[in-house]
Amino acid sequence: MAFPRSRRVRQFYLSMLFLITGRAVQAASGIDPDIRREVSRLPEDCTLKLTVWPKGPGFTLRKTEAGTLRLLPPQETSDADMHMEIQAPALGFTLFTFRESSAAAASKGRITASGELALACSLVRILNRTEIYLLPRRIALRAVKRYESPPKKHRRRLHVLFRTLIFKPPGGSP
Amino acid sequence: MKSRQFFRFTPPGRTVVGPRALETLPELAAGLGISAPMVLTDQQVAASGTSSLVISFLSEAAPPAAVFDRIAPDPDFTAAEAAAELYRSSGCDSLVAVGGGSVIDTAKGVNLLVSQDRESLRPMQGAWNRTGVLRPLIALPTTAGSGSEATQTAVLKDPDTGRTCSFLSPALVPDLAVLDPRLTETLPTDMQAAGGLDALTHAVEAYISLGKNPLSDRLALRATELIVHHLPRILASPRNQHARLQLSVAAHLAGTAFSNSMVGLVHTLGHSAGAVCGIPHGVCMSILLPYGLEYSSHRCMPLLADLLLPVAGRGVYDSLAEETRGIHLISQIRDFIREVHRLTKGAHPLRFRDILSDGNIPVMRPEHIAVIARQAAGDPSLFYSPEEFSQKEAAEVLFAAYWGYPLDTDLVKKGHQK
Repeated sequence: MAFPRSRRVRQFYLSMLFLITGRAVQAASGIDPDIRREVSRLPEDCTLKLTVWPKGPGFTLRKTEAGTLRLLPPQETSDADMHMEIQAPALGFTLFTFRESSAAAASKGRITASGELALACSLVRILNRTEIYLLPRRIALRAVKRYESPPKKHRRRLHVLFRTLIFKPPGGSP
Repeated sequence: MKSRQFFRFTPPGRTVVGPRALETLPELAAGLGISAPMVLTDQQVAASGTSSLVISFLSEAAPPAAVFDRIAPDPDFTAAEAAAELYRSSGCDSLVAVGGGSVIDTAKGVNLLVSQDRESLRPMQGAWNRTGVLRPLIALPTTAGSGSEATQTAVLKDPDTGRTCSFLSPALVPDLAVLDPRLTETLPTDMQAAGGLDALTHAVEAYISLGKNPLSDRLALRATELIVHHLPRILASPRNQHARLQLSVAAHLAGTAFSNSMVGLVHTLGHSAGAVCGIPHGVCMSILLPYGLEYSSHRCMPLLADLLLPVAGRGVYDSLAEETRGIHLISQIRDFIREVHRLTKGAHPLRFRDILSDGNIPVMRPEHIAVIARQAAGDPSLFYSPEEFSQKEAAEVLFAAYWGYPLDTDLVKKGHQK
């Protein structure tokens, strides 16, 4: 049974992880060619949202004119072309403590998706690729279905982490 | 079972099975409280007289207020939206689908539109999203294959993009399914073959999918056994009523299994091949099934070994070493599909290259493969595949299935996880 204090800790952990992941996806979308290719296939101005049901946390990303993803501030996140929701904070905790991959979570029905499911597939691929930069290999191995080390991984990883920390958006202001 | 294991299982609605099951339709319809149903069917089923038979039974309790028969194979949103308009203008209160997977999936689409008072299906796509309570839906499958009468999924094509779109919600499960061998009596042999192999693909993919669970496993194994046993009997003797009913039951079990565990690579590629080239779904499934298993075999060898028992029987299973059973299953499935090809006198194709249009032109050409592989990247069933695949790898599988040569599994990038 989860006690209120542990729930608060979990909620805080999830909020931090969503913030870091959202920023990292934004950063990686300007650095990694595979993510750029994935983003280029998204419709113009497309918004993708990932939240925990019922009240968050979460993040919303929008495709920019430059072909990257921009993390939207919370006040701009009402509508999305595709909204993925993790069904409960406890399930989100399992996912974001990297004890299972996002593909496994989706396949076990722990994540709902409203909107075109092709966009959900794109978001999962983008998250997987970002996790390879964000996480040490040992942890990333559990978070993704197939670990493929990208070229120039270490240089790009530093670049992604730097942009994540200082929250420098690719090609524009946040 | 791992302590972290989490699964959910949505059973099918009430199911009535038997050689005289149709006779109970009036009482069952009355029990659902329906008075003005809309019957959905396709022109082939209407021409065979099967839909008239159903309507005659249904009329004893609830005469149809409307009949919609303009549903093509691999239907798109247009048919569902036109049927929803007719539903509203005729004052219907429920839906009765008489047909194969295309008809039942269209009926599910209509149900979403009329129950939620929406005009377009496009914004209603999604997986496990909250759709609320829908209108009563009765499904009478006239093919033994799709299992759609038991599933919580519907797949319809978006006419604007040409993509197949998925709808997944427990509310989509039909309230009642009636399996009567008279419903499949007029089905041509090649469609019977394609349907049976579609059901086999559902069962096999349900068993190796990442979304598998102990309940879907039992159903998948039993469905596999029934299909392997009864499909050749039907093809050799189409009037075998018992075998036809057993195949319908198998398709229903396989439908329930895959509805709860989902399917993988074979469906990912098959949906896109169907959408791009217009190849019937069951044909795509049977051509791609051995390739899908070869591609994922290194990730699920023990599961493939389990499947050998219902496919080949105890004698073969026991005679083989454990580590060779999975590979043997793939060759057994290839042999089974060849046997189906022989029993249909070649009407059931073994590779994509052999599928010809009415003008004797191949419906799939090598240049289609890149398009299919690109479209497959957006199919949600790829989540459930035991092995990841890129567009390049998808194209390799499709090329092998196009020419009919075995897949070079050394080319497959092996995932890192055991």
